[in-house]
Amino acid sequence: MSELDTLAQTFALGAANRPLPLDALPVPVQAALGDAPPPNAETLALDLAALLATAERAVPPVSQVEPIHLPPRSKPWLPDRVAVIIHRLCAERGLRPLLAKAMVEVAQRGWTLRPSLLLRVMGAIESTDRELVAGTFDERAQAVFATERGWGSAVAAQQVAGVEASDFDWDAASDEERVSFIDQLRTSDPRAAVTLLESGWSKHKAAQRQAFIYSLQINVSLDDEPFLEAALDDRVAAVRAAAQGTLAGLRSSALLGRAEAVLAAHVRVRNRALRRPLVECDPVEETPELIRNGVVDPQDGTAPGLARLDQLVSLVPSDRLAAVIGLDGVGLLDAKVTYNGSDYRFADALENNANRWDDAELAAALVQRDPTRLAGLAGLLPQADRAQRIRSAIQARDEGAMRTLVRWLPPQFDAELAIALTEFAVDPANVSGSLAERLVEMMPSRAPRAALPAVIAILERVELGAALSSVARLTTTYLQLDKALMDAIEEESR
Amino acid sequence: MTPVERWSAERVGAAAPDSQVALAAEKLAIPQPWSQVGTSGNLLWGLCQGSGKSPYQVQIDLAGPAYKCSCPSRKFPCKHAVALLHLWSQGHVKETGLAEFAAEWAAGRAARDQPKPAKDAAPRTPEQQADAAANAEARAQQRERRIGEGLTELDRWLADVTREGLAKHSAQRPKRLQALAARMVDAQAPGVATRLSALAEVRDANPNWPVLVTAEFGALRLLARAWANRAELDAELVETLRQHLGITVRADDVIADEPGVTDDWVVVGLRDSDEERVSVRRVWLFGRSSGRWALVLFFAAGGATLTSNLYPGTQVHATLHFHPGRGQLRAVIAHRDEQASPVTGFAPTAESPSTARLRWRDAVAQDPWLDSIPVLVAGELAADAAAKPAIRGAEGGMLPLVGNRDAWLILQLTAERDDVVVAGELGPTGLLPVSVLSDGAVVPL
Repeated sequence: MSELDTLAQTFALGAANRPLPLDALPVPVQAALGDAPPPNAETLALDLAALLATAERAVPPVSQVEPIHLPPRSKPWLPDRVAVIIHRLCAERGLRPLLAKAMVEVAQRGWTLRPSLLLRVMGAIESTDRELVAGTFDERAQAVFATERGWGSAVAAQQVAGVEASDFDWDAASDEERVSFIDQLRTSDPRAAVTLLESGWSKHKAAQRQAFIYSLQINVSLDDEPFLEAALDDRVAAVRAAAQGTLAGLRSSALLGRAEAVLAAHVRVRNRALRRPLVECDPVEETPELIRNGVVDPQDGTAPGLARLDQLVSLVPSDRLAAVIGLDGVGLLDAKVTYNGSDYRFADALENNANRWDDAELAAALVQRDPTRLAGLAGLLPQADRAQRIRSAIQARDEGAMRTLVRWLPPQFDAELAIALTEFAVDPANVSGSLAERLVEMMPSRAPRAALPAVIAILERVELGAALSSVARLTTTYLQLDKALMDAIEEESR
Repeated sequence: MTPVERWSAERVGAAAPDSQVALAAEKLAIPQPWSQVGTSGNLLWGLCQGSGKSPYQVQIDLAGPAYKCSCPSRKFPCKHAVALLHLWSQGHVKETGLAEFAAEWAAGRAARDQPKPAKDAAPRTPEQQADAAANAEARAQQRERRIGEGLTELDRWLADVTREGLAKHSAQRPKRLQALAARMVDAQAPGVATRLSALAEVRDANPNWPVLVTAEFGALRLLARAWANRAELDAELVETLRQHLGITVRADDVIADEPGVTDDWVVVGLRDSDEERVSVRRVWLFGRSSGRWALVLFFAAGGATLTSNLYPGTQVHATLHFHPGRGQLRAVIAHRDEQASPVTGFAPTAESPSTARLRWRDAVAQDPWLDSIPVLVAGELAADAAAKPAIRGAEGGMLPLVGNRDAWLILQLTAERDDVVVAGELGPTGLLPVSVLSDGAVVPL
């Protein structure tokens, strides 16, 4: 505690209540206060405060420090002409696809962003595009951002990209670098990744073990099963859950085999020959094995025995259901099902099943019997089916259907679709603001270049509301900036 | 006429009064809504089509800089002016003959800049001169009396609170301090008012509040006692004291009474701050021949935008006159070349952290109320066990680096390597970096 801290206690309590003994002060301080004693305690305290505060101000804090040992800067700065355009791209959310494209171009040419622009881009870029920004980092920036929240894994992915297994220093690597390396190794030598993880597995932190398990989802096969089965007994619930989820996605895994056995014991199909067979189901009891397999009790008040049954139905692939209970997924959907004597439908569980196994046939059957399920299953429908539904929604000016389908629009439009969607979006009688804006915002990045003049002509022809006008302007701006960006990059690269 | 060096995107962005205008200007910085854009010498102009029938006329004098736009925005400069700057910096504005509206504006500015004829062209009589001097002396004495009364009241209040204890009326302290600040304004000691207002912001929720308040009580006590005993102090210290009290010295008097220093002045850095109802820009200059530091202040009142024609990384040939007072760095620019040029080959001798510490200590001994001194420190970027940034010298000394997280990131990324020369303000808490010297250039942070 400094002398000023001690004096502050006197100030807090009051000099009258806690006077300072003059002769207890250090000699130099007594000398500075002068020969004549202060008239009262508060005068002494104030004069002492003046002295000590000045003395303390004169000495900035001292601490033990060590050099940060960053690598020197190794890439040239981005040319100013390109930098001003990238600054502009940061200004609007609708230009983010172009910002991502710019990062790829910058990285390819070996440039790096000046710090103020870099921080701006890092704030503007979509989180899914962080690796593109990390691609522009030189070694110094990689070191600066390696431990920065939200950027460590993007930097790690850049640092391990292309590193040979024999060159990777596992012991010296950071957590993010190890995960990135395992991801990379799983694409070329999945078995080697497991071998690497097996040694010293228990020494990794729980979060690391969990991340490694998820990495094994890359090229997962039955070769990985022994390792993943062992992880079902991990001491940490999150690691066990990661292993359960990974094994549940592996056809023919023992975990699914165990689920099939339980299902077979609790589901009986009667009158199979009828158009609508009868399916009788019993409650599924909780067992240690089910818990180990990841079949959990519900949190929503559903009867536990029924909830476990639903989870098992959603786990087993539809075509395997036929072997287990005698009906496939579509058959189960159409059957008369009773549970404990009461009618029941497995439609929700089968929807989960269809999404888990990308089962287009089951998805189509579910949507055909219940069109409200389109929102959750449209992504599984065959491409031709989706395209037809989109065309029908446009022709019928069906805003509701388009709202359901908008997230399933193709990543690239053909000219016909781009023009049709634009006409649809500008029709105020049928389309509300937010949907119209969303559709028009897609045009710069999804419409073919050749169709953009026609799209812009439609947008300029119609009197648009304020919000849609700004989006229309954005489309034009996007094109202009795209051209300006590539022109500037080409010229600066010569 | 020599074309003006184009501004960087960062410098254009810095001209905007707030982030809203900056963002709106970037969106407008496309050729589409603009017509009749052109530049000639320091002048820049263009017409920007808005939502109305007639386009807005925008004119900029880059030397000021000065801005004019016919739009109704109350922000200054408006988004149209900043957008035009962006277009120019991106090379979309060509040299051309003056548009009529731009020529009219330029002529009006030139006429306003003409020195006005003295109101009273006839020389004063000796009696009139004696009267004027007596009036000035009377006003000065009245001011000194008011300051004395105000500081006496302040000293009494400090003693009362110290005797009873800060904890006793802790909840009322901020309000009382604000009232005292207003009293100090009446007492014509606005510098003390600013200190009291800042002290009012220290609330009990801050765990260090007793030490902070005690220290500031000590500084205020020192100001009050120094004023009371000013007859016994040397003239330079009295000038320093007067400046801390907020007694302004007219720029014309500084130019008339203090010698000028002509040099090529490198703009090393700047820092903006908001104080009470005034925004202040501190611009640090370093004379290449004289090796002197100088501080030039710019003010903007009531939320207006700070504008200055000194930008870090440039240098300007100018004559500066320094305010009187101990170690006084504040200066007034008497004459300067219109154009600034980029800094090249700038390699002044930098201090070690230890030497900078000693210079700060000596500066505080000369002026106990000093906020900071400008420094050029050479060292290695470092950090303590809690990852707090610092600069460490080859001799083993260190200085903590102050500033926010982004500032530290920018410093690490701007420096080519960990061995750096950092320019900044050194104060009680450490070094606030404002720029980095790199290959003879000044790189603002």
